[in-house]
Amino acid sequence: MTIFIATIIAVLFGCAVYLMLGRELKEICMGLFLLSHAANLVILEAGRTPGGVFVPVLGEGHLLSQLVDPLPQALILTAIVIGFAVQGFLLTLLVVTWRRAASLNTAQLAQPQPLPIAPASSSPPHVDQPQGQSTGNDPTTILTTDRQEHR
Amino acid sequence: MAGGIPGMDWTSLISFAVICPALFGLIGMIAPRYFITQRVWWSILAPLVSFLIFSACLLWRGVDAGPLGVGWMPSLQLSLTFQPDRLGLFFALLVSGIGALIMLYARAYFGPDQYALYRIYPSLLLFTTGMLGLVLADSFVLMVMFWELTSVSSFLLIGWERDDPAAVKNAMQAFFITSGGGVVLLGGLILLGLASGCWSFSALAQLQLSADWRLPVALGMIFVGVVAKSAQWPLHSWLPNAMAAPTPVSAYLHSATMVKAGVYLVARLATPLAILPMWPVLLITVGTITILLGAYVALRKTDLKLIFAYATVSQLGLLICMYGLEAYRGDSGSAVLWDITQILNHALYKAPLFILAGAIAHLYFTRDLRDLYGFFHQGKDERRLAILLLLAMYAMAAGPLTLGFTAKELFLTSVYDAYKLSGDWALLVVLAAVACQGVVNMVIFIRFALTLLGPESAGNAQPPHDLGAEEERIAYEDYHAIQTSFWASMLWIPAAILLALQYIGGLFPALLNPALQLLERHPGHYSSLPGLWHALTHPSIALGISVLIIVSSFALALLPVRMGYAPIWRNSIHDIHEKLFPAFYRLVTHGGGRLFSVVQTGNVRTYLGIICAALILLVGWALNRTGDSISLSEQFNDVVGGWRALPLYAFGTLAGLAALLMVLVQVRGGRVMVLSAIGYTVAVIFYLYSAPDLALTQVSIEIVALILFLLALGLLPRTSRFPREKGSKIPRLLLSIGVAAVMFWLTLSVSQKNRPPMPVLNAEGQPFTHLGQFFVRNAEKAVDVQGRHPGGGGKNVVNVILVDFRGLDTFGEITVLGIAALGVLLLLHRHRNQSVDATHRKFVLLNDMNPLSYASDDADRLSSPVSEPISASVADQQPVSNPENLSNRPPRWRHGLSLTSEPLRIATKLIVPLSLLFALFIFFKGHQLPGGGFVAGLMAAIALLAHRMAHGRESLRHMLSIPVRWLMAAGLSLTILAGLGPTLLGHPFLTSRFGHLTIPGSTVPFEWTTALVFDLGVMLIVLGVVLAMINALSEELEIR
Repeated sequence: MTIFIATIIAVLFGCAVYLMLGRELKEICMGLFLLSHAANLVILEAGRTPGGVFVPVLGEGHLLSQLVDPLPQALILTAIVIGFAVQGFLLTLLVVTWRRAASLNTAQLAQPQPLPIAPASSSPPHVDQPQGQSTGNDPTTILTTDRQEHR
Repeated sequence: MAGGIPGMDWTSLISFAVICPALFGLIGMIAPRYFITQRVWWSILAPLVSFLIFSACLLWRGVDAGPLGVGWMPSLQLSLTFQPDRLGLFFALLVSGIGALIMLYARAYFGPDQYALYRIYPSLLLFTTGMLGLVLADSFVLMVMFWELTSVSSFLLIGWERDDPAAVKNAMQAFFITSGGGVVLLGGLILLGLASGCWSFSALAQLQLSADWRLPVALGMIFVGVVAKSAQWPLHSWLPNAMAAPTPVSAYLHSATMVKAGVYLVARLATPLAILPMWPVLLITVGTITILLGAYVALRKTDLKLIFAYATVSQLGLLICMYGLEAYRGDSGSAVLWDITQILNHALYKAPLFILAGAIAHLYFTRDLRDLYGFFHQGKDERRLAILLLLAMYAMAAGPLTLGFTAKELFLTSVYDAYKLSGDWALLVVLAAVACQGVVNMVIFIRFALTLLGPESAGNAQPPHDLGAEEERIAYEDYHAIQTSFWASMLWIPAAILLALQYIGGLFPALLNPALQLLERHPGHYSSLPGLWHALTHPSIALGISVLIIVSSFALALLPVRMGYAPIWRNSIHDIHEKLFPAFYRLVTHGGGRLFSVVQTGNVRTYLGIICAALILLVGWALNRTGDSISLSEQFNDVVGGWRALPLYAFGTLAGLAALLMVLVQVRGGRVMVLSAIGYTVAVIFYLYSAPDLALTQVSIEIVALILFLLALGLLPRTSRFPREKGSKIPRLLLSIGVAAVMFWLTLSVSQKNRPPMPVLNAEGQPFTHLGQFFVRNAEKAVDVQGRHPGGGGKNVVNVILVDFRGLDTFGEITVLGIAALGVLLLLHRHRNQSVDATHRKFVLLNDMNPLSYASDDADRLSSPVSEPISASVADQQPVSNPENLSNRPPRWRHGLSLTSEPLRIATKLIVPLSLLFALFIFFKGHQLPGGGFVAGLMAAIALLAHRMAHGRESLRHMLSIPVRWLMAAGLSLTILAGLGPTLLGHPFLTSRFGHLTIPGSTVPFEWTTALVFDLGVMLIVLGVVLAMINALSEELEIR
């Protein structure tokens, strides 16, 4: 049974890592969430004890040695909830990143954006100019004006 | 303890003497800057106090009384012990004595410059403490700590001119070399401690070292530290550069004391380590090279401080070389003679030389020897300085009648004795090198004499060169105008005091004898310092060499000039070693920069790739190393685990296939669904693993996670605007497969492991096979075998672990939850505020690039210019060409979570109360049955979210009647209360109690537990966190 579950864990890990090495932040997040499932399963499988069969609840008439080890379960339980909190934070970061940088592409986010050396009191960006044109909608120009205003 | 004054504790006295300079320096910093005179006397007091304590220790405690001190961190082999023996006390007296004189000189040198004095005294006093600690520390580690303290203070003092890039560069060089050497030294001493088993110098001295492979390595590393600190070839170039420091610093640190730290360490270790054959070879070789190199460069320099610096390098080489002779032993001990006197001699002429160089720079604004022609004839002050300088130079040249002469004679005798003992011809090379150094020193002396006493016309004496800029000169002139005669005389009086000692040693050695005899470690066959006529009455080879030195140096210095050639010092040269450090530095910084640009791409993919590769390599290596062979056949037999395992196979396969699907599916919403499906499958697997708590939690989490995901995706662009994969997918695939393989292996080997028995015994006295057993056994019980109270009074062991046994962990975890939720709120809140602000319309612009946001409808919420649909979608693959198209689109996500569905509204009327009731049930039953605060919180959150979905954004506020974040605050407060309550009663944090309560009219006793309060806090936090996150994201969609 171990070898089967280990295979499943390996598949989950492989897919998670493949997603995490993607080019887009969303993909990376998905990979990370998949990874947490796989990690939980590793802990659960590693914590399996030879005699443990029954749910770790007392008073059901089982021998104590027949109960499953409860410690990995307690660890995983908090890990699940914390994983959710991390998901929420990460997704919010993604939203904010998208709004600020207009990109979720890792390579593009890594590029140092040229900061225009313009006085802070320069005229506000002409928001109507690039309207609707696919070429004029370059998010980086918006980004630079954004930064410029913020300096 | 020999003698001793009643009631006096030497341990605290010596410790105080070491600490007192730094302490005085700190106290002095409190005083206002303009208290100049008080500050000077206060600062002089510190080394004087130390000096007096050390003198008292020498006189009353004696030098053989052994180390003293207290243990500090014995487990780290670190003890606060000092060893005031001959060597330690000598250096301590030297450091504190010269320190007091330098404090006086510093006041004269800097003048009444309150800012300079405010800075210089604490730095100098810090150094004094570092140096005193270094020479007295008995423990290896303590010594290294003080060693590095001297490096730090030296760095501070060399970089005195903070605005001068050259000075800062020189300070960095000195710091890198000396403290880097210190690190290597620490490694060497630790290795020595491991090899010998003792961690203090006093213990090492009594130990007979046995051969061990670690000893030579330790020795080499220690020697690197020595070479760096004592400016030996090839690491000497920092010392001449350290002359960027003010002259008091050069006189104190870089001639008399700090550079002798390496010599001190060699002296400490010479006797125990002399048994290693490589030790004397190392010392003598490096020492000899340094002697020759320093002497040659000193001859060819013209800056006074540089000449003295290279002469110092040369003399340090001689001192290092001297301890190499320790290995040559005859009937009267080792070949070394009067080593303490050698060190003292150097301090007694080199410190005056530097002091006088500073004084000349004050008078003449130059330190270049070529500007000093006829200096002697310039006036009264000049004459006095010239005489003192020549007297000091004469001592450096080891002319007869000085202590220097005696010292050189003794050293030559030592070398010759060693040669006679061993017959090693290499020692004749040393003899020749020392003779060369003697010749060079004498030639330099002759050069000085010719320059200073010679006619003015010989050079371009007045006006002096422009060493200082014009304003600098004005500053100096100002200084002289306001300098009182007392402080002006302090420019040379410290030098005169030291020189007086130097000449007393030469002329009337009997006066110094009592002190030196107390301190001297290697008197050899000289019971007292050789007298004035000793050399003549006992002619030896040393006298012959001395005569040869004097004759040949006069010939070398004077003959070429007579014969019409240029003098041998005709032009100055550069020391090629000066290029070593910059080259090394460039290599490190450039190489580091290149490495940085390779590793730190700023692209998260790179980092993840590196992490994955490291995971594969490290875990793979560790697994390979443990050598667990996994018998696959056994594993395959295990596969057929009976029909009971069938569901597991089914759901496991489902999870694996879904994961593969997730990689293949490119549709955004599809991926989320698949991920959610995997979550549910995993929940089933949890259940099959007999973990109902986990299954419950996972299912509830999947519900809220799905909502969270869909909301976040609504705020994100639909697909990537950018071209897909450019590069090869092969590395990505390889890394994934690698991680998968490693995790496969890890899972198999971890699951197979036979665990070591736990150190805790169970009731039958048997060790627990795993930690979980302890929890299982004690979850319900109130008292364990040892009479403690570990029991939690619950039947559901998982919940008891969470809220009771490992309550502190849970406490930390829920705090993390709260922080994450606050992070979400803050990120979105900050952003929203900016976008609402009409002056920041570009944010709205960015928001509106989002195809799923429609600003036009909620125009009343925002000021009108902002709410206009300004820009079309950027993120869409097919950009919409005009704003009208946008409003024509179905407002799918406009309401966020608020659905306008009448059936749902009706259904929630029933579902929500039931769900809340179920949540309460799960919460109260959680201690006994699967469930608990986490699950209950999630259930309640789901119920409230359903209500919010059906009735809109405001409904949640109406229902809760408090802001969501208050739930988190209340929950965290409750858990803290549950933790702090017991501490008020004297129990540990988070101790829980339970008992039974029979409600009147009921036969079943009701069990109460204080852990329930904690669990309630957990539930409130989970509820608050989930609601806050989802509410915040949903409002992002609704508001616009």
